[in-house]
Order: sequence, then C-alpha cells, then structure tokens
Amino acid sequence: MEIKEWIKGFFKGTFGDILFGDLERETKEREEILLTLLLLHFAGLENPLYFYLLEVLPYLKIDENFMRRIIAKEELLPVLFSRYEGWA
Amino acid sequence: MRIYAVGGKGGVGKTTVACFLSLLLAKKGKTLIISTDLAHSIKDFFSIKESSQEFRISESFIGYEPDAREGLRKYISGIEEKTRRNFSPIVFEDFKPFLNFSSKDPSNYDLILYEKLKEKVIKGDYQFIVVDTAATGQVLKFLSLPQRLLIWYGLLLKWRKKYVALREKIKGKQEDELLSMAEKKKKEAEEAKKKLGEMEFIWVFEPGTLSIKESLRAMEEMKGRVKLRALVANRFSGENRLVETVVKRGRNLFGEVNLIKIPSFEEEPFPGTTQGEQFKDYLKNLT
Repeated sequence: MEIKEWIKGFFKGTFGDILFGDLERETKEREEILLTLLLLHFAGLENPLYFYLLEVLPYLKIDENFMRRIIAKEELLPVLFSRYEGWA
Repeated sequence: MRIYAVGGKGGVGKTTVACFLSLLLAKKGKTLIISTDLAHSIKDFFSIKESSQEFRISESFIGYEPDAREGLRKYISGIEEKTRRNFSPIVFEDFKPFLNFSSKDPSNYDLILYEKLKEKVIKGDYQFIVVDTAATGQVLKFLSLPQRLLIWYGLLLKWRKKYVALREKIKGKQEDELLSMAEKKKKEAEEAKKKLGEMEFIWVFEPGTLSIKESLRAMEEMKGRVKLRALVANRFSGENRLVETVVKRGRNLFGEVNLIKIPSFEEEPFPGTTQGEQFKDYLKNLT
C-alpha cells in the first residue's frame, strides 16, 4: 500500500504537475475571479450584481492566501475593472 | 393564473382598490393578495389581528404581507452559515462585518420582495394574485429583474461550466453545487419572466394635479413593458378635464383601456359597510 502511494506521488511530482500545472492554475483563477468581483463591491465599487453574487459565496472555497494571491496578480485587477465598466 | 398589480401615487387608494378587487376575485377562485410596500396595510383594512405574515381572510382568500427586513436578515444569515464552512476562519472573520452590513441595506428590500413574489407566482396554486404595490418604479423593477437575472445566471453558468470542465480534466467528474444552483435559478427566472410578463396593471389616480402628472409619467414608462388593464379615477366628482387627459394618453399608449370612475364617499369604504359594497360594485367590470 505504501509503495503504491509512493509511486503515485512520484509520478504526480515528476510528470503530473508539469502536465496539469497550467490547468490547475486556470481552475483556481476561475474560482477566484468570482470572489474578486464580489470583494470589489465591498472595496467601495458599486456592483449592480453584488446581491446575487452573495448567493454564490457559499460555493466558493477560500483560504487565507487568497488576498495575497490577488495582490500578487497585478494584471488581474485592470482586467476586472475593464469588465466592470461595461456593466455600469 | 392571472396576476393583477395595483399601482398609483401614495394615498390615492391603491390598497382599497386592491383589497376590494381581491374580495371579488376570491368568489371566483383561490386568491392571494400580496403587499410589496414596506408599510403594509392589508391587515388594517380587513381588521386582522394575527401577527403572522401570511393570513387567511376568507375560505379562498389569503393575505400576505412579507417582512422584507426579516427576509433580508434571514437570507444573509443563511449565506453566512453556509459560507463559514468553506472559508478559512481568518478570511471569514474579515468578511463577516460586510455581510452584517448587507443584511441592513434598504436597497436590497425590493430584491427580497421580488423573491417572495416570485415564490408565490411559481409555486403557489392560486387562481388570482393581486399585488398591492409601493411605487411604479418597483413594479417595473419586478418586471425587468427576471430578464436581468437570466443574463446573470447565463453568464455564471458559462463561467462555471468552463471551470467544471477544467476541474474534470484534473480531478475527474464531480458534482458541482454551484452549477446546479445556477441552473435551478435560471429556470426559475425563465418561469417568473413568463408569468410576470402576463401581469395586468391597474392604475389608480385621483383628480389632483400631482397625481395626474405622476400618472402621465408612469404610463410613458410602462409602455411596452406591461399591460394596462384599467385606469381607476378614485374620489371622482363631476366632469374633470384632467381625468380626460389621463384617459386620452392611456388610450394613445395602450389601445383600449377601461376607465372606472369611483366617487368619493362620505364615510371610508370598508368591507361589510354599505360604502364598501358600493365601492366593490364599481370594480365588477374588472373581474
């Protein structure tokens, strides 16, 4: 059993992350984009959708590194701002 | 199911018209009267002492005065409860004050009232629903919300489907709760759009300058968005040039529109009184 786990881990580490790394990143980004939209409202930007975004909240999984990642991704905010303009 | 909405400027007699109309309709089939005003007065009208939001007025006649404040509080605390499980405690603690704030935001009341109305329209087994409204703007909001929600849930579904497809490649097939929630809500919005689109509007006004001006403005706004079933000139006495203006404009904008003239009564028309019976008789054409 242990050997099986070890082999599984070995292959994930050597090949899996290389193969799926981009996919994983995109998946995570897509989840976080929804929460960012929501947080923008709480940051003071009127968001006409925010009441309905609230109902999405329970379905998103967020850890404490979330804000750090958002801040680190400087290019994400301009993208969201430009989208927001279309909604206003 | 037929849905009537009664609207007009404050104090023109919307509630009186809505209540007497519902009384007439209740003789024909199961009827619900729902007040979407924050200051409800249906219970006062029927002298009902019960404190529950939903109350029985007669055998086939139900009244509903949804409490928007309490509804919003419950809605947000439901979200808070579910969110607590999925968020890290640190993020959740930071986020909680914002949720508390949202639960007291009056701009959300109309949205809660829409949800309550939608629930009754979709799930209720009523033959007639009469909506005693707060303002013209509110009705137009109720009518345009389903379309806006269709766009929103469509967008959400598109995003989420992409996300689920990506996740499937990494982790294999998994049930996605958000996806099924959005699908369910989209279906509800479709149904609400269809049913609320058939809403028949009854506009109440009195022959005073302010009420007339508001009527003219409101009719312009309502054109193409709602069916105007009748104009009710309340507290009407003798020929009145102003009333003619409203009727003319109404017929210009909506085609054939009924005009119902109701005189002012010496005593207030309440159910069970002679004045009440007289008032009810004027509305017979509407049913």
